[in-house]
Amino acid sequence: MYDVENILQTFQKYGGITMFLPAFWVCVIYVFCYGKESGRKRLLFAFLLSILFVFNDLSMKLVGKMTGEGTYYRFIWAIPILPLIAWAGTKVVMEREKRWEKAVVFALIFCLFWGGKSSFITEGSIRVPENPYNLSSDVIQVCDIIDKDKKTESPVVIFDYGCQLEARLYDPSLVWGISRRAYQFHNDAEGYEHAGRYKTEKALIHAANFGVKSEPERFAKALKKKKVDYVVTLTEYEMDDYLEGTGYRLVGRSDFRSVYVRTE
Amino acid sequence: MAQLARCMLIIVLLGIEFGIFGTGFCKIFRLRLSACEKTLLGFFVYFGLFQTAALPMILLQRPFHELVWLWIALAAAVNLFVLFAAGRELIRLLRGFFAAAWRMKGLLLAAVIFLVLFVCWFQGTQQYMGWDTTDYIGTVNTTVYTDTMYIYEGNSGVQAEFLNLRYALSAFYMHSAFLCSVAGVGGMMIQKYVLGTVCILMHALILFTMGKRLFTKDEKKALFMTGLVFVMHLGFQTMYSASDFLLIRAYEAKGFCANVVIPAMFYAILCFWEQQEKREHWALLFAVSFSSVPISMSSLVIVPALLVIAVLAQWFTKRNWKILWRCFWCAVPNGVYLIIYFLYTKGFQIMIK
Repeated sequence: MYDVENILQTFQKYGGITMFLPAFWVCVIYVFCYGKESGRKRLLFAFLLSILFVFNDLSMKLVGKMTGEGTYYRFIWAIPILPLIAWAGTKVVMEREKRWEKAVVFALIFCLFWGGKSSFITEGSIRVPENPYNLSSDVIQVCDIIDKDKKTESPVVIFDYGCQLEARLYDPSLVWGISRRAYQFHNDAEGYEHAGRYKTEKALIHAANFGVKSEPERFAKALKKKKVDYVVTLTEYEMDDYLEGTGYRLVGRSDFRSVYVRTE
Repeated sequence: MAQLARCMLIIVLLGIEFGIFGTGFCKIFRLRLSACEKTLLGFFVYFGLFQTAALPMILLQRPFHELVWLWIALAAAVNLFVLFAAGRELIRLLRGFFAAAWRMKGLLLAAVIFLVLFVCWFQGTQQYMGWDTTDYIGTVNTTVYTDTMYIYEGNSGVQAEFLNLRYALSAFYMHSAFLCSVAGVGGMMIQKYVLGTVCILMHALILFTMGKRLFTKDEKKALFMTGLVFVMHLGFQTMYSASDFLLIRAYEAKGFCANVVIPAMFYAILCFWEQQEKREHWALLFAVSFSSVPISMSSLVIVPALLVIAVLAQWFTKRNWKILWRCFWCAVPNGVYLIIYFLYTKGFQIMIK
C-alpha cells in the first residue's frame, strides 16, 4: 500500500469496497454491549492501547521510518476481523432452531460478503496451470534454449520484463543483467534524464523490453559493461539485424521470444 | 507427476513432524494440551528449532549442505526421543484427531473439508508473479544451486557484498531449500504446493481450535466458524488483505505471518485472557513469539506489539504484576532481532567472506 499518507487511508485501502470493516465494528459493539464485565474492560483497554501505540499517524511515521510506511498495513493483520465476524455469524446461524431459519441467515451472510468485485472467484481465476511448475511454458522454452547453448556455468542474461520475473524460478544458474530496482523504477522507453546510476541498465531495458533500435552505440556499450552473454526479447520486435550489429546472433526462438548469444 | 506426488508426501510428513515436535515439547515441559493445540505448538517449535540450527550457520556463511545434514540429524534425534519417550502420547494425539473427525462426521464436516481443499487448490493454481516472488523463490533456488546461504542475491543470482539481514535473520526460506534438496523438487513447486498448502491447513487448524475455545468445545460450531471464515476469505480481495495473502501468496513468509503467526498469537492471547496463570498458555505465547521471526520477518514488530497490548489490557483489568514480567520474556526474542535489524538499517553489515 504505497500510496497512503495516514492511518485512516491505510484502513480505507485495506477494507476497499468490502463490508468487512463495518461488519467488524458492529461485532465489536455487540461484544462490548453484551459481553462479560471483565471482557468488556479488556476490550476497551485493548482498543485504546492499540490506538495509542499502533493505529495513529505518529506511530505510522516512526515505525515506518524503519520498516517503510508502505508496509504499515500489516498491522491491520493483527486485528481479528474475519474470526470475530465469523464468531458472531456462527452464533446467529447456529442459535436458530429451525433448519430453514439457519439456511436463510447463512444465505444472508453469504450474500453480504461474497460475490461482486471483491471476490477471488472470477472467470479468469479458475485455471489449470500450463505445467507443474506453474510458470509460463514460453519462459521454460527460453531457459532450455540457453541451457543447451551455454558455455559458462552462470551466464549473464538480459530479459524482457515478463521473462525476467520467471526465468530464475526455473533455472537459478542464470544471472540477471538488469537489476530489480532498474526495472522497478525505470521501466519505460523514455530518455535518460532521471535514470541516475541506472543509465546503463535503462539502455538494456529499452532494447530488451521495448524493442528500441535507435541507440546502437549506447546499447552495445551497456552490453559490454554488464558482460551480457544472452539477450532475450520478444520476437515481434524483430531485433535480429539490430542485435547482429551489436555482436549477438540468434540462437533459438520460443513461441513468443527470441534468444541471442554473444558472438565474440 | 512424480514431483507432485513427492510434494503431497512432504505435506503429510510435515504434518506428522509438527505432531511429533508438539508432543515432544509437551512431554519435556509437562504441558497438557489438546491434539489441535499440540500440533499448533509443534509447528512453532519445529520452525523455532530450525532457526536455532540455521541462523548461526547463515551468519557464519557455512555451506548449505552442512545445514541440511545438521537438520536431518537434529530432526531424527527429536523423532527418536519422542517415539521412545512419548510414543503413547503420540498415539493418543493421532487417536484424538480421528475421534474428533468421527464425532463431527456429516455434511458440515464434508463441506468444510471441501472448502479448505478448494482454497488449497485455488492457491496452488494461481500464477501471481511479482518481484517478491522472484526474491523469495529465487532465494530458495539459488541456495540449493549454489550451496550457499544469502551469499548470492536471491532474485538476480549476483554475488552480494554483505549479508542482507532483512532476509537472512529469518531461516524460513532456508527450510524450503532444505525441503527442495531432500525431495529433489524445485523451489517453485515446494513453495507453491507444499508451503502454500501448509499455510492454509495451519490457518484452518488455528480457526477450528479458536472456535472450540470460543464455543466451549462445541465442535460443530467451531467447524461452522472455520468454514465461514474461509467463505469470507474468498470474498475479501483487496490489496494486501490477509485473505489476499492466503489465496494468492500463501507460500510467502508474509502469508504465514498474516494467516498463521498472528492468528496463533491471537489464539494464545484468548487463552491467556481466560486463565492468565496457566503454564500452557504462557508456553504457547512464548513459542509463537519465539518462532515468529524465524517464520517471517514481517512479525518483527507486529507480534510484540500485539503481545504488549494484550498483556497491558489484561494488567489494567486484573492488576497482576507477574504477567508483565512474563510478557517481557516473551518479547525478548523479537527484541533481540529488532536491535540487530535496527543496527543493520544504520549501517551494521556482515561482509561476505
